[in-house]
Amino acid sequence: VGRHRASDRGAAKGALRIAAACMMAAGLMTSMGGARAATPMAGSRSLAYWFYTGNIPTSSGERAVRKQNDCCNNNQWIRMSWQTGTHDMNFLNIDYAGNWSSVRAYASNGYDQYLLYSATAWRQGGCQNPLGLSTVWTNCHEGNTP
Amino acid sequence: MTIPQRRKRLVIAAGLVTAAALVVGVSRVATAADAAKTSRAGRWTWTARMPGAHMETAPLAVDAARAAGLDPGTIRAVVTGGTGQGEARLVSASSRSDGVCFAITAPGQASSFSCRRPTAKEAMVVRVVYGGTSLDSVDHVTVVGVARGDVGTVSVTTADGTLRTLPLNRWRGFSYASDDAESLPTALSAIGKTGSLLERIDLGSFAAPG
Repeated sequence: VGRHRASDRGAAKGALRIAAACMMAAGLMTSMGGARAATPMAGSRSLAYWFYTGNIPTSSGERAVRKQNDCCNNNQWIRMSWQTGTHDMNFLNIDYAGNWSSVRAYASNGYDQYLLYSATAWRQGGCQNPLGLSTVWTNCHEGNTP
Repeated sequence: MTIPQRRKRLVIAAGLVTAAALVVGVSRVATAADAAKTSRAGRWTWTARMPGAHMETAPLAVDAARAAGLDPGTIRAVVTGGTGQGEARLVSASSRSDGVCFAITAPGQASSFSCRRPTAKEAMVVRVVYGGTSLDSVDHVTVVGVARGDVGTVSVTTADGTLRTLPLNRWRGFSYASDDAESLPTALSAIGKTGSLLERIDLGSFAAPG
């Protein structure tokens, strides 16, 4: 009962080899690459999670899409994911008086990034394709959760 | 040749061989040490575990770090640039693995953190914020960044073609702020301590959203 057949031992050895190869591959993958996004850990997504999904510039030529927040006294999140392999994008905030601020989202940090902002400071949040750059398929989320 | 003469020659030869071996050995050790030093200099590491100064209050950065699973207690201010609505700060936080994560904070905003391993290839990490008081004008641009260990100088090229050297602080942080069209930044260059260009970053255009 305690003895294994030769075929079993062969299979076990094969499995060990595969496991070792997987571990080596995993090690290589974790050691590769410089930038890694520390992304917020969010739960399930509703269907209306993205307020905009489509190309930027939009069909009407707008280089930014934005959404008014639910207001007030709480933090709001903008999440922007865009077509991999394209270029840098911007987060956009606009306040009650028309002041605006863009934080550049460098593609070198990944194609899925977040901006946390204060609803008491900014009234609208959104996603922007910088002037002069090519059209990019973009998903944009604004809400009080990431 | 007599036997004592042969012995004498053998001793001299052995001595020469030993001396040569010692010289080669020492030079090899020195070369290896230099290489290790150079290797360390080209890494995303600092004398302290984390680059930057302790921060008193940075609620948005704390929330951004917490949401990303980073320890908010490790947040540091690497460098600050600009004033008023154009103020921006590069902050760091310890990554879950062996690295440092960076984010930008600006009035009422904090970006997500992106992390660098000690062996990351980029010579600079750069963040930019810009804005204005109306939707059809850009009033200010602020760049904050941090350089790898082997960077000696960081310079900014501005819209009028001027090249300016940016001072590096004790954590190799640097910043540049502009509020007029002539001096808007267009590119950053990292020059190595040996004088070679390590990296050039084109900062792209700064246009108002309106």
